[in-house]
Amino acid sequence: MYKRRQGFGSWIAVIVLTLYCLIAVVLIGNMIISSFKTKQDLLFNTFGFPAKISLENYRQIFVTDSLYKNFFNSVILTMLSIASLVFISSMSAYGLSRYRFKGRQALEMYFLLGLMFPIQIAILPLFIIMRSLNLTNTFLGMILLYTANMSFSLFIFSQFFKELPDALHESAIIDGASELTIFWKIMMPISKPVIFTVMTVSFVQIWNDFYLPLVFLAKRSLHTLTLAIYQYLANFLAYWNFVFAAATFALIPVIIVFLVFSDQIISGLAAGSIKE
Amino acid sequence: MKKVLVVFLFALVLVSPLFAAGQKATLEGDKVVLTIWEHTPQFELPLRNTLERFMEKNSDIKVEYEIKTPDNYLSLLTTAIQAGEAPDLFWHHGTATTDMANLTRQGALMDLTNKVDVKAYSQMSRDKVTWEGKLYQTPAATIDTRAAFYNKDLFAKEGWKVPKTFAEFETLLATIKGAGYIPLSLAGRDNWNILFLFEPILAAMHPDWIIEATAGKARIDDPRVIAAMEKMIEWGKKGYYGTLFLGVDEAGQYLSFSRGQAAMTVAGSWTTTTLTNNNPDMKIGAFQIPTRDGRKPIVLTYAAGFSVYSKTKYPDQALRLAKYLATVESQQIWVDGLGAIAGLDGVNSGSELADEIADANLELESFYNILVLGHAEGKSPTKVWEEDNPKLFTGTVTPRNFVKTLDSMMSYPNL
Amino acid sequence: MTKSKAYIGFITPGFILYTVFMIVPLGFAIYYSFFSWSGMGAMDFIGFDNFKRIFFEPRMSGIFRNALGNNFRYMAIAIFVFIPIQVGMAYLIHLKVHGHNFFRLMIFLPYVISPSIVGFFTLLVFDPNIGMLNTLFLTLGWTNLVSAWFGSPDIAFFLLVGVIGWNGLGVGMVIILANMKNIPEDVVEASIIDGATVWQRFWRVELPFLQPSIINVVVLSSIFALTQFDIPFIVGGLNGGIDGKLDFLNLMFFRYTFGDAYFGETALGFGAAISVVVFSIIFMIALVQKLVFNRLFNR
Repeated sequence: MYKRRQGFGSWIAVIVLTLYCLIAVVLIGNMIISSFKTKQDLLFNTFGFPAKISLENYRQIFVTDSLYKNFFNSVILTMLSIASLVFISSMSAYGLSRYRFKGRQALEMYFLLGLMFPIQIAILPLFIIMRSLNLTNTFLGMILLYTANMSFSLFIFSQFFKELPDALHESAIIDGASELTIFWKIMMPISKPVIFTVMTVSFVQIWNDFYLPLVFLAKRSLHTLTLAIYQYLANFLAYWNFVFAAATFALIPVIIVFLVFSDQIISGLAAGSIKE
Repeated sequence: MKKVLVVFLFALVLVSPLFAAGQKATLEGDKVVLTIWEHTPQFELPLRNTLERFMEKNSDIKVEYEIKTPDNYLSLLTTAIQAGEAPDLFWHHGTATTDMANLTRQGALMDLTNKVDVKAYSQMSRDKVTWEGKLYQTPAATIDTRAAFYNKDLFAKEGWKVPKTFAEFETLLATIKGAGYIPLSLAGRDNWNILFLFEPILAAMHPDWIIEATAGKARIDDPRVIAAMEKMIEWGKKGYYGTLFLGVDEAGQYLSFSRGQAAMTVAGSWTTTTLTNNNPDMKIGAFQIPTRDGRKPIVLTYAAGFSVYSKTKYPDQALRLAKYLATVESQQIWVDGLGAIAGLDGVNSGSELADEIADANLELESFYNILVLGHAEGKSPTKVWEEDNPKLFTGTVTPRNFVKTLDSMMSYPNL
Repeated sequence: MTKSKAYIGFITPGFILYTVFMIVPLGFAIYYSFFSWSGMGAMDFIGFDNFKRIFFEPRMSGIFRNALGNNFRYMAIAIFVFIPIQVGMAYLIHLKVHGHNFFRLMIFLPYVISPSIVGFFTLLVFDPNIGMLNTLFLTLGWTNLVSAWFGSPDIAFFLLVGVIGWNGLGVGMVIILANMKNIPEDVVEASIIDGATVWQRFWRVELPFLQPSIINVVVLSSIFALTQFDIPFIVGGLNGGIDGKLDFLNLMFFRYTFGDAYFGETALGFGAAISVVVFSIIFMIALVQKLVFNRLFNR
């Protein structure tokens, strides 16, 4: 493994990185601290520690507004969507990048199109399609939508799969493995770092998504956490003390996901080294 | 791999009830379920209260509401109507924008003439919801206006008085600045807040122009309009909005006032609840910027209510809800929920502050509305106004050129 | 690579989903761009009039060129400034400098915050009257540093770029970092044994292995630069900030399609035309990039 850098250069790097991260620390830290302040405190003491720790903001969002229900919705929706997205996009990327066939380049561009236009422009035809399939106001519909939005994941997977050595594939065929087995048992385990990267980024994108749930999960019992927080944000100054609490609450699962998966990324290192 | 698949399917089974929650239930037990759409979370509270009362009185109907966001509302509504899945009742701007024309042409609105009683409402109020002689929307009793809010505690401490004439107002601005406070906090970044300052200035300086323009007898390209714009810019240069106001956004404007940094702020009347909630300890007062000869002008726009979808599955029940929404009782609930100003006899204003705001003797049309009502076919002077009015402060756009551009997009059939 | 036909099985499910839910609606949007339509009621076929308006009508084309310019400026900064920074940060973390776990989290975390909260942070930091920066400078007596920040036409754009960068740097960095984990150790160790310095090691041995992720990040950054919406919308508003310095193409699209919060006039046909134009620009750039990279790296 790399020796720990002890040189002077590395200390400069550490200082620069620390200063950069300080911004996030200050802002996010302030957000978390402020979630424990009362409105008055927030107004006059925006940047300091709470004069008195108050839980009234959390009481409002948990008890009065039952945000935990929306939290639950978000968790289910996001996790199922991620599973489906990673599964389908990795398969498609694999097919696209490890087989030679006519029109492959064109197909790659085809799959990139999804990143190039704002979804709002297509909302009417999309709505009609969803409705005719009876998918509006269902989690299944949303999961399909998020899976269909695979351009980003597919692109990252393709670039990675292109790099995998042919030798692995050939030796597995010689051993009599089917294409599918090769995919699942050999290629995927090696791809752990990429898989977890895609999962983490997609998790954030889906967790924070606002527009699609606004249109397709209009029923209040189906609202995601991001939608529920909007009621505070829209009436911002009236409710900004709740905004802090809700935002802190929304932040926690993502931090957990990130920490959990980053351990996997590290352990992926061991599995990821390709010995020729 | 098998394990992953099993877990996946298991999870799917666990949450499959959520999938079934799909189709909008229109019948729950023996209750009819209606859906109603509103456009902003700011109205959620009054809507919820109103619906609760309605459901108490009509136990055979359940009403579910959906709140969208202001930016997306119209597109989502039109999407729903196009797709044939429109809500039973929905809000829209009425005649304040092209909403009413578009929706009636589409045949999306149920004709409510003679079905909903709106006799008690004022003409201005009814104009908002009537089209080609027919009633298509419930009227609203809330009035939106602008006002100068001031910090009563600060005024008392410094001995400042509410001005009675325009000249007194200008002197007051200079005095406050001299005492080290920001006279008027302003969101230089927000074209709407600039509008809400401009309109009272115009109303105070040249109410005659507004009256003439409303009757179609004056152009936008008019020295009086230019004078009002120049006055607004002049106050900026004198530092009456604070020296750095160009970097302030809406939230910053109100926070600056709530913290006592700014002595006054001119804002829409709907911000009363925000300002009072922001700093409950501060005593807030309001007044209209007076004219040179001491009259109190007030720029008014009436809100609009709800329309019934022409193809609703339950026209009788939907009509009952529409009727209720037009009653004095439901309007009172609405006005109370917003702390708003009421424009209907029998409805009291939602707060003492609302009364101070409504203390006026000269009702005037809003400048923005004049642009809306007088726009030439296919042109949008409002878009140009929205995009460019902050540029008045940076000097990129001059008042003279601005009014010329706006004027070229208007039509003046009476001139 | 093989010539096996198995690819059909792998690609089909994704292809179907993607086509039904993304491409078909897109096709409709392109169709709309040839009409004058408010989203409801009559659709008037007007051919290329929408497009002519975007490119040739004095006011509109000025707005279009301003926004396009901003998008391109941002793209240049994203590719030539942000990507090197992301590679640098990823490498430092990869080398496990002191505190690397903490850095990795704090660089990525801003991405997790939803744009509305990011907008709120800009208020907290940059508001001229009550924001952190000006308050700090005033207390320290550095009054010449006090500024209107987003109210200053000269620096507003760069501030916004900084905010977007702060929010999004983590994503690219994580992608590059994942790639770094897959650099074969033996090659690197061989170079250490051969006496290569850190610089030489990085440039000659490791960088070539980072091809896939850097290509990734360049293409993705370009596309994101041209489709920027969320943060400019929250920070600069729909009208593109002071003197239009913060106007971007997708902001323009949104405001002409859906109007504003107070009075929305929907013009779906015209808006579709704007997004078709934006889409075409992105498509051409992405295509060029793909061809260049394929040629350059023989894939």
